[in-house]
Amino acid sequence: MSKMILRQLLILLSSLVILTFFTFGLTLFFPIESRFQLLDTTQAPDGLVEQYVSYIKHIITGDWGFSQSRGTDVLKEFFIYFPATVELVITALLLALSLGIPLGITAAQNKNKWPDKLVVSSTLVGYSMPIFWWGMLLVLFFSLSLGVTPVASRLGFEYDIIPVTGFMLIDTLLSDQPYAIEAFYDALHHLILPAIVLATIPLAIFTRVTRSAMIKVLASDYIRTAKAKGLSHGRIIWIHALRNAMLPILTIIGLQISVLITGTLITETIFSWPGVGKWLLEAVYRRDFVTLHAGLLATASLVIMINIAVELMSFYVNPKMRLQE
Amino acid sequence: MNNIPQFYQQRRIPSSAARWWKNFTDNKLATSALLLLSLIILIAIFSPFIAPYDPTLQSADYLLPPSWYEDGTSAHIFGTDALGRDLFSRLAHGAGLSLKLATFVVAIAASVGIFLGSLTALSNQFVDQITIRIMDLVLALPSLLLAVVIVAIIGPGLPNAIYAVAIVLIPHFVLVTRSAIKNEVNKEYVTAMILDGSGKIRLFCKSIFPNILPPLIVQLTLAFSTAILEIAALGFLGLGAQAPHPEWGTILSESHNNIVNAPWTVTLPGLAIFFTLLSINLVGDGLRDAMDLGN
Repeated sequence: MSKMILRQLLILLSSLVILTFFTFGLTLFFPIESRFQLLDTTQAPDGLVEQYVSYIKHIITGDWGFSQSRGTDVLKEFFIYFPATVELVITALLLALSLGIPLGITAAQNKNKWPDKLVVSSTLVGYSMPIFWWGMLLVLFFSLSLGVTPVASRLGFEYDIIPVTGFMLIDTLLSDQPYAIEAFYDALHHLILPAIVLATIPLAIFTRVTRSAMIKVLASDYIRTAKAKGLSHGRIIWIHALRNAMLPILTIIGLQISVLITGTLITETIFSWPGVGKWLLEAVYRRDFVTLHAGLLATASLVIMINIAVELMSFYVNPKMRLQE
Repeated sequence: MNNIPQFYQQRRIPSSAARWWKNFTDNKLATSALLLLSLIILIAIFSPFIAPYDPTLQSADYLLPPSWYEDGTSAHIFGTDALGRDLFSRLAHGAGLSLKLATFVVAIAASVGIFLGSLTALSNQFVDQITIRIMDLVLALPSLLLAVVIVAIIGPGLPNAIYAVAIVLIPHFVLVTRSAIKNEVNKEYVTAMILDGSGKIRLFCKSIFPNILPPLIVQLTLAFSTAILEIAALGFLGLGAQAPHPEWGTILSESHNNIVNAPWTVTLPGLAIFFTLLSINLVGDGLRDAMDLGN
């Protein structure tokens, strides 16, 4: 086990180092005034190696430069916008998993019958949905025609909530204002449409992966044994089969994180959601390279860390892999 | 002729391509998707002749509803946008633009990716591991974010957006090619070729390459739909095709403001993107099943 953890840590470290090579390479194409923020400004080193060393020093000490359009510390700014994106991503992920796994299981149990065909064709529809259009359609229907959900932002203007954690759902509950509970429901209302939009493609993928994993597991001998033992249907599916089908699902969760982050760029634009995606796009429009660099480096390192964590988790879940070492 | 006695079984064994085609056409859904896709491609090719108006021609009839609305006219089947441009003409030209751009993007990404992937698979362990690490890393980066950063550096606009999308697509091709070659390289028919004394290049072109075609073809269709989607997404974010261009994503972002009083300017371009992506994905799925690749 410890050998495995050590190995994953090594992979993590090497990936992060390669990532800094990559981002350093990108900074070479930045305008000179943005670049100098990430190097020692007093003296610009001559060689690429010296420049890289200077760059790495800046990255490790947390001096990621100051926004060219606002003059604020970009790393601090990142953490201001970050919770809003995390809230959206986690909600979407939970939504996609809580719907996708049962749907995939239902499809697998009724393989090639109508529920399966319905689920599989819906996943194809979900998979082909351009989410910027899907978001606008939902706004058109739920917000403009029915008027049941708000169009944009995280919270109604009438509520004044002091950010403590940055997560609106938690902050509204922590607030000591008399309208804290109403504000919580309002925040939930604001969250629901963006979360649905963001969850669409992962939902389609989780459903497909669950379905194919479950079909494989349900055909195996130990399931037949479990049936012969007279175990209840629910117990076989949810306890015996799902555990073994979990592994591919876990792997795909790791891969979907970067899809979700790609989705936040678009979702946050449509819903004016004040998160990292919107922050980065504004930086592009203002040609604020220091902010862009910080956003890319921070998001990419997070994605890498999550992938390693998922890897470790799948190692923990799978006894076969655990015993091999 | 029929009188000649047949000593051997005279059944002709169909070629791989014929078998794939038969399997594919057995799948009704995939076949209809292929028909739809061919229709879209035809519209795209003949868009200058089909489109009744110039896609950038503005007129005084702005925000005219489609013909099936009560106050719509048959002169503008899909209605007009906020500047009085005929929506059908814009969408038809947009189909041409999208498919052309996506083909270009996929051609760049595939040729670079397949070349790098083959080099990696056939080189030594060290180079292989390094390339895999780098490709895994690029794949872990959110694709649109990477494209956005590349566009920010080289400047917004259509050609730059295309390069960005192509760069983002390359790693997929590298990984698919590499793993397909690794699967084939140790098989006996390859060993037989080596024992027959064939050179490396001949070995690759004559025996390995034809056998890695199925996963590559599936990857091509996947990349094609991704390319269309990402180009449209960049257009929507204002980083791809710029305003007067009839690019689907750009059309959508322009009509975003008219969503309340002219919903068709949002629904119709979206439907065009959606059906194109759906048909490509269905064809890709059908091909995967037909070539028996599994998931």
